[in-house]
Parts: sequence; C-alpha cells; structure tokens
Amino acid sequence: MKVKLLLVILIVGLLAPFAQAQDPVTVKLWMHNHTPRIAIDEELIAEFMEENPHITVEYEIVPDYFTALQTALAAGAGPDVFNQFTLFNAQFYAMGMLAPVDPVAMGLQTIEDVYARYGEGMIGETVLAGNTFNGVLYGLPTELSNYACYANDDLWMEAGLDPATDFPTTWDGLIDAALKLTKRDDSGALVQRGFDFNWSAPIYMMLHFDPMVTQLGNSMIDETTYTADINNENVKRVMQYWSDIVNVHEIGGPQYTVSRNAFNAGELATECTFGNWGTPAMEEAGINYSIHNIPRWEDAVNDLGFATYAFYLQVNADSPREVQEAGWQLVAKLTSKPDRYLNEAALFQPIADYLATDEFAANEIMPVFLDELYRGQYHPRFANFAEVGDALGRARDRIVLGGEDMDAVLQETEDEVNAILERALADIEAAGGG
Amino acid sequence: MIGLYRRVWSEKNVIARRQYWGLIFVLPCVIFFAVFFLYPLVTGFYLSLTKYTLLRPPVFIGFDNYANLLKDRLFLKSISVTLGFVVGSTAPTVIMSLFVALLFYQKFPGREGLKLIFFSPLLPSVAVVSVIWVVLLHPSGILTNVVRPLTGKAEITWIHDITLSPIVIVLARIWSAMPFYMLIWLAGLTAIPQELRDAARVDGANRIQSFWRVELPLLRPTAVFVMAVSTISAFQGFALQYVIAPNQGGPVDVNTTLGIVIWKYGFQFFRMGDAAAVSVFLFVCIMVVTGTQIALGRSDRYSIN
Repeated sequence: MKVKLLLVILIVGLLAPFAQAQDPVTVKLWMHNHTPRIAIDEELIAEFMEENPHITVEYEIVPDYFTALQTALAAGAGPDVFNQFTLFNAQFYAMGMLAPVDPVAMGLQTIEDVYARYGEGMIGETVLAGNTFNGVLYGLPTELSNYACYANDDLWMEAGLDPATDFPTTWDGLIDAALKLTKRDDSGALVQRGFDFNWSAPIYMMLHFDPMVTQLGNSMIDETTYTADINNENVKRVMQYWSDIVNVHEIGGPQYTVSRNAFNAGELATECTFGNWGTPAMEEAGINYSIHNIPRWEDAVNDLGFATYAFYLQVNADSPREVQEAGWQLVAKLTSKPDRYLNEAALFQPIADYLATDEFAANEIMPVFLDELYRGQYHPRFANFAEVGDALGRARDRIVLGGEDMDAVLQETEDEVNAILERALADIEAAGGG
Repeated sequence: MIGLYRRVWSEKNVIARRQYWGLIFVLPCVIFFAVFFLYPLVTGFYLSLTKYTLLRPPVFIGFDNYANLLKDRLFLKSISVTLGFVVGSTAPTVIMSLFVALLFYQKFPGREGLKLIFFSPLLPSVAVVSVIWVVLLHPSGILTNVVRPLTGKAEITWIHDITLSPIVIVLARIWSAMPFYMLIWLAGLTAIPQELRDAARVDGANRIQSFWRVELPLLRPTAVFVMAVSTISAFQGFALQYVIAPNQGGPVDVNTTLGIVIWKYGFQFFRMGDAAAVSVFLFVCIMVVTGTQIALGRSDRYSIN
C-alpha cells in the first residue's frame, strides 16, 4: 500500500510541471480610439498578462476603426478580440464572424451567470440584448450608451427659463422653449439656437428619428422579418416636425454647426444626442449643464426616449479555440472595473454589483440615463444598417431640404429599404449565417 | 562561311547580353508595376465578378454586378454627378490656369511674392483645403458676407442647398487645382524658344497674335498633358465631396461621384463586388476619355523641332 502511495506521489510529482505548463497564446485585441479609456485598458491588460503568463495580449488602438476592422478581417489579418458598435453587430453575426460568449473561459459556470453579472432578471437581458441574436449572447459591453437632453443652464436662465422646472416633457413643448432660446443678430442670422437635432450622419435616423416614430407606434424597421414600414402617418408626423424646425420655425437645420460642437461652443442651448460620455468635454468647455429626459409626443403610445446602443467586446469566430478562450478571459478582465471606466473615461459598463454600490448611487450624471435605459430599447439590429441609414437620410434631405412631396419620397424610400433588406437576407442565407 | 557564322553568332550574343542587362535594369520597375498596378488591376477586375461582403470570401457570380449596376439608382446618378464635376471643373481649371501662367510669365514687380500666394492652395492636403472651405461656407460665414451686398441675405446655405452645393464643390476644386496646372503651363511657356516670339514680333505680330499663332500651337503637348491629368483627377473626384459635402456626397446625392459610390459600396455597405465593378467602369471611362484626348492632341504640325 505504502509502495503504491509513494509511486502515485512520485508520478504526480514528475508530471506536475508538465501539467502546469500551458502553451503560449497570443491574443490580438483591437479597440476604437477613446483616449481616456486607453490608460485603464493598458493597466488591466498588464495585470492580465501577469496573472496569465502564457497569454500575450497585443493591444492596438486602430485609427479609422470600422473600415480598418472590416478590411483586416477580409484579409484574414483581423484581431482575435475587438470592440464593435451595435449598429454593425448584426452584419458580423449574420456573416458568422462572432463567437458565442464562453462563460467557463470567463471563470463563470453558465450563461445565466453572465446575465446575472449584468443584473437580475430582465435588466440583465435588456442591457445585453444589443448583442444577443437568436437567444445566443455574442459579446459584453465596454460602453453602453443612450441619449438624454442636456440644457446649457446659463443660456436657459438668460432667456428667463429655469431648466429644472421649465424643461419640456413633450416635443411641442421643446419647440416653444427653443423659440424663446433662439437668438438672431441685427441682420437676422442665427447666433444662438434653442434646440436642434443632430443632422450630421445618417445613422442618427435610426438612433433618434426612428425612436420618435416608435413613441407613436412601431419602429420603421422590423428586425425579425427584415421589412420596412416607412410610408405611414407616424413617420410623416415625425418628418413634418423635423421639416418645421428648418422651414417653418427656422431655428435649426443641417446647414449649421453640428449640434454637439455647437452645444460645447455655447451656441446651442439644448442638445439631445450626448450620452453620459459627453460630460468631460462640456466641463472642459466650461458649460454649466443639466440633464433631462428625452421629450415624448403628447399622445405617445410607447414611453421611451432615444435608442440605446453600445460597443461590445467580441471574439473572432475564426480564431483558434485556445485563442478564443484566452480572448473571453481577457474580456472578463476588461469588464471587471466598471467604476474606473465610468469615473475616469465616462464609459458605462452596467455590471450589477457596481450598480448596487453607494458610489454609483451617488453619481449625479447617470440617473436620467439609467431611467431612459430601463424604459427604452436598442435600435433595430439588422444587416446592411449603413445602407438603410443612407436611404433614410436621403429621404429626410429630399423632404426637408428639397421640399419634395412627402408621400412620394417615403414610398420610394420604403421600396428602396425593403430591397436593401431583402438583399441582406439573401446574403445571410448565402453565408449560412443568421 | 564559318567566319561569317561566328561573326553573326557573336553579334547575336552581344545583343542578347545587352537585352539581358536591359532586362535586369528594368526589372525593379517591372516588379513594382506588377505588384502595385497590375496585380490590383487584375484582382479588382476579378472582385467585380464576385459577390463579396468583405466578411466572407468572395463568390464568383460572373457579370451579375455589372448587370445590376445598370439599374442601380445611386450608380446611375453618380455618373451624371461625375460628368458634371469633370466638365464643370476641368475646362475652367485648364483655361484659368493658362491665363494665370501667362500673367506670371510676364515680368512685373512683386511677381514672385504673388506667385507664392497663388501657389499656396497646393501646399495643404485636399482634406485641409476642404476644411477651410467648410469654414468659409458657413451659412453666415465669410462668403455670405462677401456676397451680401448683392444678395441682401444674412444666411446662405451654400453646401446644403441642392442647387448651390455642386457649384460650390466645383469652385473649391478649381481653386485648389489651378496652381498645379499653372506651374505646368508655365514650364511649357518657358520651353518655347524666345527667338520664335522675337521672329513673330519682327514679322509684325502683336502680343495677342504671337500668343495665338506661335505660343498656343507650341503649347499643344502641354495642353494635352494638362487636360489629360486634370480630367483623370476630376473623374477620381472624392476628397472634396467626402469632406465638404454633407453626409459624404450629399445633400440628396448631388455630390455623389463615382469615387464616393466606390467608397460607400466597398467600405460602408459591405458590397465590395459592386464597388469593384464601379471601379472597373471608372477605369474604362478614364482610359477612353484620356485616349481620345491624346489622339485629338497628337499632331506633327506643331513642334519645336
């Protein structure tokens, strides 16, 4: 018996060094540029490599991120782990580029544990819905964003309005306030806008135009059937509202400085497309701000603000298995310090434990965003998102700037978008994805 | 006979050796051309025959992309936009740069300083030039104030107006491209022997006659070069439309050139096969137009020699 025991101890002793030694793994990590986040990333990656000596992380901040990511993946030189905008996630999912979240590699037991990490019950599922397709989770958020309205308190006070009590809750109320806040010089040129939309990129058609439509009924795009319903009364009403800002009230429009820049320059009194991440720039610019809920239509049937969106950390499905596992380990590490990301980089990682802390409860920026987040929903997620956004932006400009007939333009756009979605579905089927 | 044979063989050998060394010397250039021009050209054409979403390998579909382009609204619109941009910007650029070159060919006080100022738009990149124009074109910006005595308007939506926007982009193009072509014209003018002008003057020609009858005909090779290069460059129009025009090519696609379509299809819409087909179309257009210009400009009648 003793001999047997000694033999076992001897064998275990001899094999132990081999059992501990793991093959070296290199994980290539790509992130988009957000300067305040980089130092935290680097610190956590250094810690991670110290804790996992067999894993080397090659961390890269890539300029012109979305184009670079697509082309690198196309050339087979893409990263193993990368963060990605929810606007494009459906495309990546449909093409089979994303590996499902691996809870075991993350040090958890089951996928339910992952959801639980982000809050109990529906809250966890809601915040992770941006990257859940057909019930499978494909990544974890490095920054979850939604919009709220920021008021420049000084400009509001100057106009005899107190944002704390006078900030409108309806879209019509916002126009009334904007008219009071708008200033022109002697020649009639606008020198201060009361409120304006963000006209700068077609994606905003899905991030704030579409939610205004959804407040009245359904989204323009049905992500489950890949169909569009654009020529309807709700879209017409929202489009008319946007057009009136430019052509009737003449208080804003795409020709003026982009709303975010104008707000930080003190030329725009109210801006509604900043997330919580907008505050450092405002503070740097010396703007005295307050944060408010997104207005609703008086007869809204859905109580929601603008769309939720996020950047998710994802793992490349084409990477070798051991690299994928190391990648999910790294993702767990990079989502383990939500307090630092929020306090130092203004990026919100909705980890349940952190949300329950006194520190988070004392945060003055987040309550409005959290309120909108829990009542809101993600933008529709579908492949060919950019092309649909482009078509919607063109429709808006034809009506608002070109003065074309709304009925005709919306019908043409509906047909065009349905054709784009049909092509997207065909591509998905051809790729064997979805 | 044997001697003759040896001589011929020896001469052939020398020629062969010369050819061999010639090949060695041009090889780097051939390799460079093959890698950076021929390979992308062939690959581009191949991709135009595929369905390629970037994220998955390309699938061969024959000429479907070309057939689809015939009914592609954005592509068809971009052809007229590109032609408008080419015609609108090339002719004024060529003519105005020639006139400015003629001005700078004269001697007058402050010429070098003025030349430097005129040349300055060429120094910054097109992107920087575009940003300068964006500032100039603010609705209540400098340009609006300049024309205010004429229009009486406090605000003009230069780049968001569907009619004005393409005109403004053409003006920006003329402004930024003219100095380069002025230099080429100036080099052409300098290459004309002074004796020919002197002879014309002795024959009684005034300055205008000397220009029309002597200088302009001798500038024909320069003119062909200037027209070819400026036309190619205008066909490839992208940066100004990308930076100045709202939403890259807007509003309502009035500035969406073929270059913008290629970028949108390839890198925004995951339609690399379609983007490649548009690229091939653009390549053929440029080849045809440039070839025609060169053929029309070719003449032995006017030559310094």
